[in-house]
Amino acid sequence: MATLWWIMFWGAALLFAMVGALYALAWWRPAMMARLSVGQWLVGGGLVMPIVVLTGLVTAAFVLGERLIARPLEDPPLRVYAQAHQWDWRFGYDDSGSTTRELHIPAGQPVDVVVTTADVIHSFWVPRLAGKIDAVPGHENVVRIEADRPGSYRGVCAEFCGNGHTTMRFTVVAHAPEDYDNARETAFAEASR
Amino acid sequence: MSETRNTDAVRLHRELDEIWHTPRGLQRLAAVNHTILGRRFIIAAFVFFSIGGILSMLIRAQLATPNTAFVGPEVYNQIFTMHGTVMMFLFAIPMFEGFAIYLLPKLLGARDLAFPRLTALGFYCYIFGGSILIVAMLAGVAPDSGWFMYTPLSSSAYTPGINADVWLLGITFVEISAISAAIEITVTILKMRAPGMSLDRMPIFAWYLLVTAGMMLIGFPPLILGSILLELERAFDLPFFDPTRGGDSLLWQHLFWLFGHPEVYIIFLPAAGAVSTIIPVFAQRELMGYRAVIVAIIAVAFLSFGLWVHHMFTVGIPHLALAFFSAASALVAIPTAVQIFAWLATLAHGRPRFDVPMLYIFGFLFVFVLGGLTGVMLAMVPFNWQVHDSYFVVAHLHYVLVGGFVFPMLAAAYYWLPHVTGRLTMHKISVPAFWLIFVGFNMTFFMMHLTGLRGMPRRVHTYPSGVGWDWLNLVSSIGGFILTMGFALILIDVILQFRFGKPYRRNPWGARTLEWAQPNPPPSYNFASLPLVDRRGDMLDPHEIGNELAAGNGYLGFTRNGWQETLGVDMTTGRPDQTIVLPNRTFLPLYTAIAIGTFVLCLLFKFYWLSLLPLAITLVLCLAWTKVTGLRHDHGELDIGNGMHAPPHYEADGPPSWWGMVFLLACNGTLYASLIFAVFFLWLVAPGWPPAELVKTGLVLPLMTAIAVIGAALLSRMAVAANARGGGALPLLLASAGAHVVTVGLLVYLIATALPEPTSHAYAATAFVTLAYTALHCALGIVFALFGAWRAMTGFVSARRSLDLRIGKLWHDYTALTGVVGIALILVMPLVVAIQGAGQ
Amino acid sequence: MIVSDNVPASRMMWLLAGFIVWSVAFVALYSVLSIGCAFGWDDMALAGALSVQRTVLVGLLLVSLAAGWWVVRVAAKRRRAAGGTGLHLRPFMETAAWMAAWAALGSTLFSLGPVLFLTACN
Repeated sequence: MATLWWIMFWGAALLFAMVGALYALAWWRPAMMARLSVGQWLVGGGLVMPIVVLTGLVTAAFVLGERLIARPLEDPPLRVYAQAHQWDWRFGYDDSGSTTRELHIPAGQPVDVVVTTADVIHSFWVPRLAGKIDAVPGHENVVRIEADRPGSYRGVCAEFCGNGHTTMRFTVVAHAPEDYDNARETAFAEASR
Repeated sequence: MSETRNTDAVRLHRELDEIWHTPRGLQRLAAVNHTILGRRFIIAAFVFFSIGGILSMLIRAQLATPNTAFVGPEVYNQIFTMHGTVMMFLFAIPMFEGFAIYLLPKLLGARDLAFPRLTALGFYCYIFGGSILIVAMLAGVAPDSGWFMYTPLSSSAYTPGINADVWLLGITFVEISAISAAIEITVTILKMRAPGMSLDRMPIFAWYLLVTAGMMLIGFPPLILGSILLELERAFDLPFFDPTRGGDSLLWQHLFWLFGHPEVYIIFLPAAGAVSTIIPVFAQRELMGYRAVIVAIIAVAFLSFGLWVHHMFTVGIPHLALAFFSAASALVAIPTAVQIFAWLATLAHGRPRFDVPMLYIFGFLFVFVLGGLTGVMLAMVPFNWQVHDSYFVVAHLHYVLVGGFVFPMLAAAYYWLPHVTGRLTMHKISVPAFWLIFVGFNMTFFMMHLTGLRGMPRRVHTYPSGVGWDWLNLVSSIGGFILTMGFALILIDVILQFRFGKPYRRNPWGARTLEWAQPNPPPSYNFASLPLVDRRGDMLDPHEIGNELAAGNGYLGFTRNGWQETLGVDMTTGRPDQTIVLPNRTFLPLYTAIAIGTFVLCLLFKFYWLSLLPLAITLVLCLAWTKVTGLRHDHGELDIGNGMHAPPHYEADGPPSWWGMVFLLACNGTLYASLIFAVFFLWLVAPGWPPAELVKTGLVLPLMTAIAVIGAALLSRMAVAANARGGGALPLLLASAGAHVVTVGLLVYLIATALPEPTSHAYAATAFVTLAYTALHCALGIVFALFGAWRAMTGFVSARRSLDLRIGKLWHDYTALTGVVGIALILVMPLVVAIQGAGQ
Repeated sequence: MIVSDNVPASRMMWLLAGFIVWSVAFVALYSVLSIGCAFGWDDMALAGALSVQRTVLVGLLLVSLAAGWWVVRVAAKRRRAAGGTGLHLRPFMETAAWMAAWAALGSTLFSLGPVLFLTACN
């Protein structure tokens, strides 16, 4: 993801500088620029250049996208459940118990979050762990997240959902895999108190 | 026939002005003249722009520092919803419409637009609809679910108040003006050009507007349908978007963005058209790559309909489907690149010369190219997942919309204002104003890229401090105020130009298009006589042409019967084929808009039975529009000057009103297609299917209905044929009306007996809407048929003058076609539902 | 007279023909993809790793490309008949239609090509 971003960033900077330079030349040195015919400008700048750039970029994005989507794996990842409602998040787990505003996951392995909503559309977004996925009424969406190391990661609701949208924040707490079960039990106990 | 002829220039001017001018005082409200209405559109759009701008200042004040307590979420949500709504629907679209309405006839060498009274109606609908929104805001009940109005947040369960109804009804009201403008622009460009202006001689701006208007005809209906369905859900509990009863909120998103993305290009293309007009003037060379640019804008028009899902990359659609839209979104950059390099080549092959409009053009290029590049980034699915609904998108969309619309429109304003005022701009203010806007804009919005990359989501009314967003937001807010000062300077500059600008005689920029071949400010009739265009429309000599035309040496350089005459031409070749007689000023558009407005207000305050009264008044007023149209006897070929002849448009094959109906039906057909899409989409995607109860019609009643509606169309066709043979249309028209009455009866019976309760399930609700749609069209079919009969009885119809009957025929054919499709849909759906697979 | 030939308005439709094919192809592939995913065509193997879904989609892509190619051919023929050759830009309407047909064919390949290799239903 970061690689794609830097490629796009430098590519965009380069293209922007190039268009700027060409226009500057056309303004101050039209004679020099007029050495290329209109057809050459249109085909070269309007067709060939963008087609080459876009084909490369789109291909790279598709390959990356294929890696990120929640495809079935041989070793199915842990599933957790995030249910949004106005204006809070409840997180459920396969065994039992649930937590509010705090999702507990093991670090260092992919986790599938099944995102649903009890009322309007919300969106599950933990910027440092993955892209976002919307919680759409009547639908179940899955986003695959992975925390490299234990720690707390901030999450927000990314789809406008009414007056409490701003404060509909949550935290994903990643634990070392060996601590995960204990940590979750503690959290359940705290939640039920 | 009494024809008065006059070739003396001054007397000609006086005679034409006598016919075309709009008197002062109350009569101004009856104005239908495109110069007056174009100016009004532009001024009104600027007022709404100021309102939207003030709202954005409130937003920036709120977000300048973390944890601000300036406004709470209840107010903030209204502010940002209204900012988006006002800027998109009440500023951008009407502003370009205003430019088009003002300029088109002047650019094409005509005396007015195709449907002057429709222009006026569109203006009043725009003002009334916009006022409803603004008044609601002042009353504290503005829409607050975002300008995108996602359900179920905007449904009655989560927005029980009047807020969402204000949006749905107000915006649909405004949309009447968008649709009427689109039809008007299309027909005007295709039919009302100067003689000899074949398509390949059309000024490039007209090509841009033609493509834009075509896009509006296809792009707006999905939103109109969506708004109608959502309002039906809110008012009568028909569950189109309710997931517990077979509806789906994603349907709204599809309908909204199916409009929403083309909308961006509908806004951009006219502005790009202005750029393509202005750059050649200051490069002192005609536009290079004229054909490539035309192909490019056609490509943009189509491709822009294939990328709406890039607003929905995070709703859980399969990667492959996202890929289609991602690739199409990237692809749309190519035709844009073609235009950018065509402008570059024009400068390179010309002798560039500086003036104020060029400054704004460079601002446009700088900002828009940046916005285009971030647009390509956003088209990439993985990146989009990351920054969607973050401030990065806010930055991108402002770069594209302000860069792609506001900057070119400012260039256009400085370029064409002398045309409006007859005075020149003074440099003293316009240059510093540019730098304030340019610096302020980039300060405000460049920072938002970073704010977004640092994870700040959109539409939050405040944010915590210490997460790296503080100084970025502060800089954005400061930039916003600098930007506002720039716009204030522009306003002052425009006022100064009106008051103190230096008058000039003609064509201050050395332009080579027709609109500069008239005195400025323009006379009420535009051209004293119409030009002959013998080369590309941006390579003319306005000085020479202007003098010739003023002397009455062109076509129609005389007055006749007090008619407002202009010429209609063959679409492709520009050969004159009719003399178009335009209607004069009238209060009817105002009254009609008031009636429609009353209808809208009745719906808004839920007086549903009472709303039928203004609806009936609207219908009566629409019929009253026809009082001044039509001729009672055949005129044959009329002299149009220079030894040429053309019949009045009532006797021509393809007059504007006939084409207007064709495009209206194309637009209507898109709405219907969207409805069919909705039916299948819900079946395939929505939860809660199959429905418990299916439609049970049997075969007999639906077949009878189909036969009746086809019969109505056939009878109207027979009436047209009989009329062409010289008479006997009347009984056939009455029979056609009768067939429509039968159809309406059958449909009402079907709706009452065969449908499950429409509120029970989205399936039943869509079936209800499908049948009601045909019933409504048949009811109007009765009106069309009886109107034709009445016109035949009162002598407005002859074998040569069959226009009223042929327009009716279009309507009846369309009704039959959509009616049969609808009935087939009703019959097929239970079978489709039965084979429903494992997907649900 | 200013212009000698009287040309029917239908001639303009050739400007749009290529992109109309693109639109139809786009809608067809998007709907078939959605229908196939809803009905589990992706899990039905046709031969080896080739699913019903993939076969149908690729088949549709080929049909779309063939239709786009046909429009290019017709546009080229109409252009030659009107006296156009090579990269010369006369006659206007036919040349523009021919360029648009090529643009549409390229767009079809670019925007619908992903059916060849991307995951269909996840």
